[in-house]
Amino acid sequence: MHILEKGGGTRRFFLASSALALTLGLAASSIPASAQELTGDIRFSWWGGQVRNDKTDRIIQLFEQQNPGVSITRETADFAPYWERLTIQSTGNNQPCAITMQSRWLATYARPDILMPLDDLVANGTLDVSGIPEAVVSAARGADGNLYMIPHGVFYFALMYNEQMLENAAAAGVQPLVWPYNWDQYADHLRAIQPTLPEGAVATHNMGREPDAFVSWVQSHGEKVFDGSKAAFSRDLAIAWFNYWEALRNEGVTESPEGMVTENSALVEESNLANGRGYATNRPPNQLGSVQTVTNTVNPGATINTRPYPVGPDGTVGMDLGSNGIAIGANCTAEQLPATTAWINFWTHNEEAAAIYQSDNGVVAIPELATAQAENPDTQPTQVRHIELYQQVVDTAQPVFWPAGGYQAMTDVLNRSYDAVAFGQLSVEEGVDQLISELQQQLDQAAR
Amino acid sequence: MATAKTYDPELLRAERRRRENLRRLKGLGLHLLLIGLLCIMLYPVIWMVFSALRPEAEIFGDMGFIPTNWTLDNFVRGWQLYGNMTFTQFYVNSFIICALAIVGNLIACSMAAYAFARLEFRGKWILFAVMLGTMMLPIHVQLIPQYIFFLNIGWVNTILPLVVPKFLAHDAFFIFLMVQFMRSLPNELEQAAVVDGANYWQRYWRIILPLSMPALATTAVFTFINTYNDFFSQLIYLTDTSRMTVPVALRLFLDPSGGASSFGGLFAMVLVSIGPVLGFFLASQRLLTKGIATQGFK
Repeated sequence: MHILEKGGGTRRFFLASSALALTLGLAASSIPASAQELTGDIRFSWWGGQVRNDKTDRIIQLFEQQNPGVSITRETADFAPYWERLTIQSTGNNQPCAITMQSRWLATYARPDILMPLDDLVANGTLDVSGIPEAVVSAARGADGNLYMIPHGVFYFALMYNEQMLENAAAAGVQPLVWPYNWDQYADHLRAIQPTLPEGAVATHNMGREPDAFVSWVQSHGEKVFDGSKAAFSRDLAIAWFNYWEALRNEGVTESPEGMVTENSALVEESNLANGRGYATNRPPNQLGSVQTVTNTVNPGATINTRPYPVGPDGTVGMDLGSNGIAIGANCTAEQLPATTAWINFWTHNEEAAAIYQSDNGVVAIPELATAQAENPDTQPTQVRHIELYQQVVDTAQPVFWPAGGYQAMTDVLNRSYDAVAFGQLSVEEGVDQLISELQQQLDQAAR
Repeated sequence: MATAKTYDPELLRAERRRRENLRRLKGLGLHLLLIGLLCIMLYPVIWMVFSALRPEAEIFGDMGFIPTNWTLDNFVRGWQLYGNMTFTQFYVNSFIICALAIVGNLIACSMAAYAFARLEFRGKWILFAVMLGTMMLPIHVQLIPQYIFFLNIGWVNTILPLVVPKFLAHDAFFIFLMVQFMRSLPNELEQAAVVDGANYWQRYWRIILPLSMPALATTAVFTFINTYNDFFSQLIYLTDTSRMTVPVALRLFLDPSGGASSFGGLFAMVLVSIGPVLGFFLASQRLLTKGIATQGFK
């Protein structure tokens, strides 16, 4: 995705406006927020389905009730169209004031003429990041080091598995897997469990093509995925990754290459795991509830649980932590800024808002709020597990800095390269060479 | 010497019966084949219809047609998308845009088509070629400049970018379609009007337009379908959720980013949303087929 360059004069105008807005905003914010009568109309954009839209709307209503002078215009869309629209809006400097942002896409937009740098607003207390883990805040910075969003939810990918299949395997003598387990131990576990599965089921989804699993692999082996806008992992490590999954595939522990592509659907309803055709896969644990719901209908009696990715040979945890948060459009005016910052603070810290949202788009970033949700007897067990696993890995996980276009490029190229290997079109070495060269090509293109 | 052929009437009747039976058998086989193909093609649609009528939790639990438990709950929950946003609002928004787009296209495209088909003016063929050339421009080329233009004149988040271009003969395809039709009308009709003293406007309004009903109906139907199904332009230009249209709203039932999806609501609302297109098509089917047949778009 590319942001089209605007004319220099226009950019200077916007930068000047942003600086003016920031100055005026800072002046306005020197008055304590509680003492101010907030007024103004702001636009807030987010992505999501029916349930998330409903929760978001309720939180907006709550904020508007508490701040009668503020009106928030809702702008929602499905995930992919959301970014397309934001890109087009950004070219016209017509972004909403409050923009839901994700760390994986942040680098594409993290420029002062698109998003407002927030460090000064944080430094003078206008924006409140207290309680948010430093690693999560760091992941909200752009390549220029500026803070561009206030994280409110932390997401991560992990492994999901079918507990009943595991119990059956245990009854047949398969040893349980206790974390921290390394990649070889995990592969041995999958090999052991395969013969105990029902006809047609496989022990694992082939994650050779999955960027989140690959990132965990790279980081758990002590390497970086990116260095700025350069691919930083070694060729040997990528070859080892392809070989790891090719070995499992050739042993019949994963699905066929054709099944591997089908299984790649993001929709829970189509997954092998939910349909009882697979023991394990990788998915974000915030899907645990919906995976369990679908499983209850198509594979009654099965329970789905989640566990972390394996660690490296020396015990290093390689999991990436991503965050969703709210950024401020560079075009947000001085009049709109107080209401926008108040809205962000409300969304991030308000207990009632957090209780409504229920970590719908990542575990709530404030640990106390997450603990309160986990301890609330009304919280769904799957949601509790989602929060517990996050708390288990948050201190050791390694958030990846995704360069502009990096996540999309990694997904596209890794999918294509590993598929070519699995379908026998390329050797492992050729597949890895394709991965590295095309990834770098796309990163260079996005960085221009 | 030629001998007269004699035919046994019984043999002739038997042969006729055999041929008739063979013809019927072929017809039966063909119909069975078509019915089989129809069933294959309709299976997903029928499955969706019944899925909309079964509880959400059972949609993926039972791949059979007939639901064990019948419910209209998906329609109720689907109609109420979230908060106070309902499909009533989305339908009103969609229909307003569709109605204005149809009116705009009928007026502007027929005028432009009349000029290209019946009038002689300098540069006509160059302009016609340029008009046809615009049909080949990918939407991505036009997207950003158009957006910035509409933003600068304050039209973003209104229906104007979706409607006003239609009144300026923006759809080259429909101009071309009507040009083809108008060229097929006899010149004598218009010449007679000229003898009677009719000016350009009168010839267009009183002679050409009434005779172009099939082409106008085709344009109206396709404009409706295209506008009603248009997702991207409506996503880009109508950002406020209260101005959202049906195709944009339908995308909000599923959440591939990890949140909960509502397939029941989606199927129910897709079913409802097919209604206007189907109704419009059925109502204008006769004119539509006539229009297509007479314009060579077979």
